[in-house]
Amino acid sequence: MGRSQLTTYRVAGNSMTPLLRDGQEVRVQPAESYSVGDIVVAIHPIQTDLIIVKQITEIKDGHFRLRGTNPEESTDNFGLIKKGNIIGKVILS
Amino acid sequence: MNSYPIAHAHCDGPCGVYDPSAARINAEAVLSMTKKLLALEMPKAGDKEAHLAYLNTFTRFVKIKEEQAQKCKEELLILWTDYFKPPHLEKFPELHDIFWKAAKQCSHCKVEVNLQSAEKLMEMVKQVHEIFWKTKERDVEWVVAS
Repeated sequence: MGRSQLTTYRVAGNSMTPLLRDGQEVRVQPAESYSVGDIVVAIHPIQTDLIIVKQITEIKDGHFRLRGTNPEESTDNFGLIKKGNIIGKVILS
Repeated sequence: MNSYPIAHAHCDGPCGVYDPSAARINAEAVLSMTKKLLALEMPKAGDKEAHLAYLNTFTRFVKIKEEQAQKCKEELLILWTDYFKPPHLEKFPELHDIFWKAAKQCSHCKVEVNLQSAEKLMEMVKQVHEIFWKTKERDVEWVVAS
């Protein structure tokens, strides 16, 4: 995989603290597979114009449950998302 | 600061603002377009110009009805999956059934041009309105724009 597939995003919000801070830049790369614990950037399953950054907490039948790492600001309840919604894994921050 | 695309790390949504009035406006538009479609007069046979005008208007009305029914469904799904939480379900056990049927009603309104279906969708969105504001312990009046 070349560096050309790296995309930079800026984090907005506090649901990923302490791993990621509001305003922080992250490098994101598509992956063949994802695992529980990976921090990923994904397309929100309902608000499809919204890009989110979350952590994979569960993989079930090839679908992924995402959650913020900050429990005080993470009440995500949009269910399982498809792999196709995941843009890539955060590899550098 | 570089202008990289934003990856949102918020809770349910970027703003946390939910309001069933968005679904109500869409449902009202479905009802309005259904009424307009039912009121459309067929042109006389052989009048090509009138026929084209009729088809154009009919198509536009159907397109808007279709779009608004889809938007209504999306607004309902956002409320259902993002706003409502397990404690709400304990208090309103009929919640899933109401949303499921309301979302299906949006599809019924797409499939047919039926006044009863459109009115039923409005009633269902009203049910959502009532439960939503009860969860916020606020007495918000049901109002319609038209």
